[in-house]
Amino acid sequence: MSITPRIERLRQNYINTKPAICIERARIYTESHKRTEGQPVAIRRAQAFYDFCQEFTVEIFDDELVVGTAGKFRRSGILTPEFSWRWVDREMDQFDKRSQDPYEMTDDQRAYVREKIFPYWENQSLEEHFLAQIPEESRKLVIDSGIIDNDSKWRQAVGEITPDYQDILFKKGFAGILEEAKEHLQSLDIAKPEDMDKIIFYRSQILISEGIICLSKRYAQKARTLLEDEVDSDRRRDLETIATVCEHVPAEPPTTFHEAVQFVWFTQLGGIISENPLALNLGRFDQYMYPYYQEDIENNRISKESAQELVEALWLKLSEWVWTISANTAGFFAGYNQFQNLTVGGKTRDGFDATNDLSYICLAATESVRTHQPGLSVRIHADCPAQFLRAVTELVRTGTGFPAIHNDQAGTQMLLQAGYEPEDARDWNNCGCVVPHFRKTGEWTSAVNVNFSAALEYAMNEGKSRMTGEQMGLAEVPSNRFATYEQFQAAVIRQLDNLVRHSVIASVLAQKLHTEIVPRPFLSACVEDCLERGVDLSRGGAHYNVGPVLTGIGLAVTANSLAVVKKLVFEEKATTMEELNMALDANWQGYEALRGKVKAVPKYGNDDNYVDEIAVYLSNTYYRTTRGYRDLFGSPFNSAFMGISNYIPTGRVIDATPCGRKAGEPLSEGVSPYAGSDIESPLAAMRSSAKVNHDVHTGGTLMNLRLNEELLKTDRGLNNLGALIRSYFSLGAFHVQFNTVSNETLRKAQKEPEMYRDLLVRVAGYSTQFVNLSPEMQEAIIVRNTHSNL
Amino acid sequence: MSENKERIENGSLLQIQSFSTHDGDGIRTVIFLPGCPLRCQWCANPETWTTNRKLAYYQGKCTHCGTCKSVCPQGIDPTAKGSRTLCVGCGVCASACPQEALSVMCKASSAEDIIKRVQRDEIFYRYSGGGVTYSGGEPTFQAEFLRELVTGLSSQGIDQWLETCGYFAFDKVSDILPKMSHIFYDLKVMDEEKHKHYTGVSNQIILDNAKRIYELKIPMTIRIPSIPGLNLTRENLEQTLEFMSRYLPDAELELLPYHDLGREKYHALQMEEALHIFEVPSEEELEEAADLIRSYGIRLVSYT
Repeated sequence: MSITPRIERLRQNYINTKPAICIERARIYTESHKRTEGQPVAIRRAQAFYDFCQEFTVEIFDDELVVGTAGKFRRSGILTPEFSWRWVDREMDQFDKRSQDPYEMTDDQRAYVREKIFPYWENQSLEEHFLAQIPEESRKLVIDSGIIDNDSKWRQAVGEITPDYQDILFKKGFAGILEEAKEHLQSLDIAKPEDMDKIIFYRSQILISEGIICLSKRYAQKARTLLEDEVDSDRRRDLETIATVCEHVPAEPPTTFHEAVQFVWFTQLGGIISENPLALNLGRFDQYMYPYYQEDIENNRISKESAQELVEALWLKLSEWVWTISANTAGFFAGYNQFQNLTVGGKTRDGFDATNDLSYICLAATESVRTHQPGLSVRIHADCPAQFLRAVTELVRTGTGFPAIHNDQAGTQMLLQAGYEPEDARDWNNCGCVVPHFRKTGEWTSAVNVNFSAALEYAMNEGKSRMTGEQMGLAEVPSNRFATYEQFQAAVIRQLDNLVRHSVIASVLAQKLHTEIVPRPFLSACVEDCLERGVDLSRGGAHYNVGPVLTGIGLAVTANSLAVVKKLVFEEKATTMEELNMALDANWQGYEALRGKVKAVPKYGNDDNYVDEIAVYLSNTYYRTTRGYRDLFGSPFNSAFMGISNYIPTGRVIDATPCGRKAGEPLSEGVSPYAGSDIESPLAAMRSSAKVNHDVHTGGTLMNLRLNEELLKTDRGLNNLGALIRSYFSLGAFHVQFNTVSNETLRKAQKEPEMYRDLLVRVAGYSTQFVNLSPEMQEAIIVRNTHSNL
Repeated sequence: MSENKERIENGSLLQIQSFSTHDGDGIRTVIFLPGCPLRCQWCANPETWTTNRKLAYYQGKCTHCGTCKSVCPQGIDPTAKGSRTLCVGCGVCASACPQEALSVMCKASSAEDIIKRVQRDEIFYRYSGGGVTYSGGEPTFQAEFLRELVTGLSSQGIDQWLETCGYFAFDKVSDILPKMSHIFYDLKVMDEEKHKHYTGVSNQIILDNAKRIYELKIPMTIRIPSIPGLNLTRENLEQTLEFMSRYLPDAELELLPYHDLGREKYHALQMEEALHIFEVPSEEELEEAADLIRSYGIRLVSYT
């Protein structure tokens, strides 16, 4: 389906506009807070939200069908100083210069926030409370260390919510929520101490409902104002529609597809204004939107093409707003990525195939607009229509990296294991990147990144960081005292347990501070049972409360390294712990021969049980350890091996590792093999990673694979890719995402051959590792690819 | 491995390649069995001519550190010109090379090990309709070994395809062929003299075997390694098509355009004297041939 001229113009705008900081939200929130001192914090936050909705200067930009921004600019990032502001103060002079995710910001803006905004929040923000209260023994592991990273939980809002359109928003509208809150208030008694917090909560619900309704009506008014001067008849029709739509939603349940799309965007906008969240997910869009689509199609109110256009307009909206984050966080979540996940396909709550027209429209939208948002996920089940799988593989072929492909059954299994009711477990959607999630849930799905390779380093180096020499882990005997491999492995586990313990300390402290400092009135309205119970989301008001997810980073590096120690030190006695430690201290310089032996030791990702068993042992042990801890609401912590770009900063602080990796190089992502080490075949890599027991890691597992573009050029190739996915999922794995290998990748491989040893290219009747070809041959392959791309 | 029962390494294996999608239907595992009765001048895989272990040396990756020479039990320098006459392909130098600039090609293997290795890919055949493809060299060159593999994999219901040059004693493999669900069969040049000149053997046996296989009703794909002026000529194509029309009317045809990407291996194996370079066919020449093939009503296919 070809893109409409309107969408193309919107798309060009998105591509060519630099993200800019807008300080309006911070200004209005700060002014509002000055007026509400002494009030309960939930009321203050709800009032500030309301004030923003009243005061913010609304704009409708050219060509827009879906309207609303959180800042003055089409691509605005906002500031949320109640969460943190010190890093902004420190970093904003460099915002437009930093390499990862820069933002535009003017000197006037900087002067204003330094003078009028930041001083008010001094010692008031979530960050400052966290830094003041984090126990001394946890501090060095937790604060900007790359060892235990949870800064997105105390410098930022949590996000990680899927608004419930099915059972709340589209059923009630915010006017309905407002009414319910009022009814609840009437039944409560201010003379009863147990009602006090509930009264505060319901007052906050009234404020945010009135706020978002007011904001939408101001957009309706804006559209009517623009109509006065608009002469173009097409645009006049658009503006009339926008005025009608915004007058109606999100106050009332939507009555058309267009209203439903605008409702979704206003809800996102409410979430953005209230907390600048990551992973504010759109959930099962094709399911909850379908009734509106179907009715409009049946009544000829909409064509398939105009539905496609609306969906694409929403995609652009989702991509335009910018998640303002620190340079450190940007290292973990690179690419202006807001992680608004949107899931299509899968099964219904009753277990039937759920794919519909909209599932395909969503895939087509991502293919045609090529925006980085939403994070498009698909659920593939055993009986999924071949046509749907084909559409998925066609999208893979475009090389955007989308969609993230998930095993329906494994997702359901993960939720069952976390204690969900079966219907709810079948109704899962993705959160953020690869976390199976359900909309009636309060959960920190990416609570902490835990650096597995740090545990390895501390076990080998008497508990010290090899790079800094600082005592970071538990005290440990010198490594030459380990008499057996088992003793050494036990030491690694001991260090890992210690990292988990400090992750728990940091998470529970952050949870407690969230209840005190940053309650979430707006998003509480979007999650079931908060309103019924009169309890804020941050205080465990949701129907399900699932424990924070601790994401293990560097599984492959750690397993590969343990295999090296096991084989070369203890089995073959080809080296000693002392020599290995010296080699690592020297970053392998002068130990090339030893590194050569290391290369020959089995590596995770080649379907070799020698090392795969170690990876499975590590992951199972990690699962049991995390499940042993409880969070603020009594829920067990959860394990995950997922991705984002966190394997890069976590690698920066880890010195050379026994697997042959050099100091500072990235670790490995999720359950994927270490880059370039899965030299056997993609099938072997899949078999290795499927050995990890995916279903227990409720926080999700991630597998990224490189795939040569050439495979995807023909129908046969697409069918084979579909079969590859089905085969992998039949092994029980949860997720796979394909990066297609283009000439650009081949060029990178020429520069950094060690990291691309897995890269296979077809030479003629056979395939071979690209890096093993001579420069001349490599050129020949690149030239051939260029030709066949024509 | 010492406590495991001794495996009989009675065959030679070049390599096993998983996730092949160009050697038949679905996701396939290609078993490359070395040894070939032909010496085609355009061959891109000279390492498959014989079954013995041989050393490959990739000069571009070599830093001339001298490790290989220092460990060689024969006392030779594997990087030196003409050193291969003394080399036994033991591979000690390849294991020691820090640059991975040396490798040993063709290794003694047991059918049991290969079958075990194939089983690991089996899950990927199920959804793709894939299986195993025997390639070479010429797989029938090691007929006994091939039989062992075919018998083992057949008993597990694994789909098997064969790529062959057709030069074999039919009776020696007549029990193997019916177990194949598809055969890729080369008709390199129809003119017998040319065939002798460019491959070293007459094509009489090849043409006879083609007819006999066809009579077994095994689906066949005829392949022509297409070289301009040599066999991508109107004359040779017409002869091939006439032969097919007459004897193999339902077989399909695939043109494999010649490429010179095998050059590197000749150098690595110090076999430069056997290297011949031909002209690579142009798109136009291939398209012209395709038109001719269609005019005969022969189905032209591509497994790429």
